[in-house]
Amino acid sequence: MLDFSVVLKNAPALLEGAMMTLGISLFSIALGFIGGGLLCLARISAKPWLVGIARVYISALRGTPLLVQLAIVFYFLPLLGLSLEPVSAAIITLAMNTSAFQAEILRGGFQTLPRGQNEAAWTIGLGWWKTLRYIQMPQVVRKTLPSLVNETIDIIKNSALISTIAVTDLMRIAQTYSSTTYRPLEFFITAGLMYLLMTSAVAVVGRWVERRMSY
Amino acid sequence: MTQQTHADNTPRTAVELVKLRKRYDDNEVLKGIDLNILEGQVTCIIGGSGSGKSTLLRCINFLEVYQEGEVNVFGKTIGYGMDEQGNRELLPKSLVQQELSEVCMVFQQFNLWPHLSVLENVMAPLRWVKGVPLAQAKQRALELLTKVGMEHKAEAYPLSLSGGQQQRVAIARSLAKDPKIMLFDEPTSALDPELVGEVLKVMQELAQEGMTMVVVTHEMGFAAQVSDQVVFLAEGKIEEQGPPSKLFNAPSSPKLQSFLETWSSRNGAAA
Repeated sequence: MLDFSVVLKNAPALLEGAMMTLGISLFSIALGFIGGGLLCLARISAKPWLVGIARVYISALRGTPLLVQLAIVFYFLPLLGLSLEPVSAAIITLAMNTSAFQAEILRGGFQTLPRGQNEAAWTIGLGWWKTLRYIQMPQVVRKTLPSLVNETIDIIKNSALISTIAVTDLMRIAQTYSSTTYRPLEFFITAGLMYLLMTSAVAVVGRWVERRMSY
Repeated sequence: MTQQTHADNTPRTAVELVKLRKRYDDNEVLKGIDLNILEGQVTCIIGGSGSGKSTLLRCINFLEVYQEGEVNVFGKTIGYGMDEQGNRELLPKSLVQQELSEVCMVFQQFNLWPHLSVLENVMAPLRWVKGVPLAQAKQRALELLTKVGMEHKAEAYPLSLSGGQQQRVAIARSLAKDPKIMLFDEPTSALDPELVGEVLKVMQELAQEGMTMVVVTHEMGFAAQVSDQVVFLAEGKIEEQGPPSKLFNAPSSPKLQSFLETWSSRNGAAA
């Protein structure tokens, strides 16, 4: 029989874990957006060496499992003298991972902009940065918002993997308590519902922002 | 070619093309164009599709990089400088853009920015290029919108407007840069026939105010009435040029004759 009383008793720990999951995910998404934006600019630049670096980075991070990336950052970097706290390692890995995906999402957004808009910006006298800032970015962000929201949801879910490098996130807490209380089903169902709550909240906020931004 | 030196009362040369050549890989599109465009005059460039007329226009503001010859705007060569050995070298884009501060362009597809309102589109050159304060920029933008008869749509977004309205806004946006030379690349070709007139009217008013205009167009009526000079391009060369009365009434080149015949048979009575 399911008995959720043990879950209730340990609610504060679960909530703490959820906050850790949400905090790390959102921070990684924000860092990944900056990284992804720069990566995207490199990828669409006219300089072949920049394009090359971006392509290699993107295919490496999109083409390998997040679990492997976490292991490399957490276990192998210390061998090079770069020792990281689990939380820092988790944020760096998630941010690097999502930056590759966000770069591709943003690149798709840039490709939908008609070339004529840039030509108009050029003839008006807008330089590279101002064209990016005032003409391209506002449109690209609006066009790619649904995909960026999707990516945020993916990262929240995939962040469960950081439990493997001893970050006390929601997943780790659920695992710990299910083994000490012998009530795995209760704890994993609860954890699942908490993930669902977080991802649904992101989806709702995303839709609201989308509506506000439409033109 | 004849206006290299001028007395005080003759207009100066605004744009000068010297042996201009442009090719895409092996395909040469402009095969040595020499052309003088005087300040305050309207030059219409006509010709069939593939004659190179749009490319020519786009070479003037360096949207197309030409390989040989020169484009001079008020005596300054656009796009190229000299390196230390005296060889020609491509200038950085930002420098080229500065050289083109007196030139603006109106496009066939309007190219308004859809995420900005009509007013914001027109304010863009004022705010983001010239650094005009907000209140002043807004006032100037509204003046320009009034000039093209679009002040009532200042708060609207471009995609909610008709093509003719969008093009008039695009003209106002170009004027906000305060250029001395306006380039028009088939400004009415994407419009429904009943909307062509409102755009041509705005262009005609600009011409009367003394704006230097270079217009690539299929509107022979406009070319005949408004232009000081008509240039007929065929296969990347100037086939014939002169005042509109001469080109439209007494064309000497057989290619121009057949071009005009085709045009008038397709459009009913010629202008």
